[in-house]
Amino acid sequence: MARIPRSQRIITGFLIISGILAFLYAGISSSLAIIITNRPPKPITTTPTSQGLNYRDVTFLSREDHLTLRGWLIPGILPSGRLTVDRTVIQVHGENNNRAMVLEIDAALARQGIAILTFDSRGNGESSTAPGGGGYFEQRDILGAVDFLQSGPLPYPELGRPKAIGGWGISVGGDALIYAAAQEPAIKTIVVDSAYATLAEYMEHAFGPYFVFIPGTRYAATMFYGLDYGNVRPVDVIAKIAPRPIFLIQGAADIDILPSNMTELAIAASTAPGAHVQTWLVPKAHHIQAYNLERNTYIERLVTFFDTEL
Amino acid sequence: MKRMRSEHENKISIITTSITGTEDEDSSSIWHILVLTLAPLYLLIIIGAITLSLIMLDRHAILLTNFVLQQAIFIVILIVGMTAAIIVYSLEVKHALRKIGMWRQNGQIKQANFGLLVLAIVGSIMILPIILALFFH
Repeated sequence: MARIPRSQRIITGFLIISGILAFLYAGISSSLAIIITNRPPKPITTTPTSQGLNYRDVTFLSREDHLTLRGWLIPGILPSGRLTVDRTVIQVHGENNNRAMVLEIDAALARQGIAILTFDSRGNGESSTAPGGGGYFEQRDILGAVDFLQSGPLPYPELGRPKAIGGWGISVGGDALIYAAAQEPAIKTIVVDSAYATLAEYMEHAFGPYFVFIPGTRYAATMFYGLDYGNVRPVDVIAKIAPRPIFLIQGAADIDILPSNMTELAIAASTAPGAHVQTWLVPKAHHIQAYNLERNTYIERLVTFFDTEL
Repeated sequence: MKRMRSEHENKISIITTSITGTEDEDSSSIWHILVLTLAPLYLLIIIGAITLSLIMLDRHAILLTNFVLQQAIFIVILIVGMTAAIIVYSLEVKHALRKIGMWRQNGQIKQANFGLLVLAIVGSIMILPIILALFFH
């Protein structure tokens, strides 16, 4: 039996190690792409009744890919006690959440005469199972909500159709809203809380020390779901919303989506002629915690904004 | 049986050695080494391309409204593809190394060294995406 030369032993070891690393990398990247885009839906444990609100269940389809989305239409309450949907705000929750995310604030808006259409975006709550797109795919859900408000079978036919539609999105819901508003002029104004400027930047931050898996995960997500993280850039489309007003909110202590994201979005939005951009950096607030930390001010500013701009 | 096969392979090897020397045979020998030692890589590429094509087909053939089924099929394709890739890579590397060992035993040192060099390149290409990901993420 001839002795195996050292060079061959080294190369054999190298081939084994490189093979193990390559397959591990491919496996982990593929799994991450699947995990990130497919989270188990969070159950809905409350209804607007808990806030003493009148509401009805609604079902509509997303624009383009026709997914079934479920939500609630909460009419606004006028000082006379009469219900109204004249001014309706589409409320878009954040990642891995559902339509009941901010019912307290929905209630505050409703009591100011602003109707709320809150729904489970794709893959969440009771809506169709589908891959999440970090806000990119979810824009179709918002556009579906606009179509529903404009021409769908509304559950309060006696109240007519909304005369003005606004949007309020939280985290990736805010990004979805930026995308939707940029292409749908029926959305008259938007409030965006804790949105990222580019998904790639957000991923880089979210992956932290595991950044080496970013390119693999990005490639896998593109192949598996048609979602290229590198091309999800709300900062590139936000200027198209002008001259419609935009209100950007951000927690100053947010470590998931850094405050610089709001600055980037605000600068980009302001480049358009006739742009109307307001910002609010909430001191000490972590990710999507502005409304928990500054509850009264949050509600007051939101109501004032929609009262003025919608 | 094993001994017979070994004798047979040795004979072939001796014949190969005796006829080397002309340029044509040198180049055919190079091609033979390349085909053998690059096999782990190109077979991986073929399996990867088939797996990704099937996943894309699954994505386009089954509507998003039936996402659960789409996802189940896609995960099966992915697992089968990955398993096939690991098995093929291991077998082809083992086969190439055995062949290189045989060349060395038969005194075909140049062929053996060239084969090892190509295998080293294969290993480097396998690890290249991870190196690139470290620097260009």
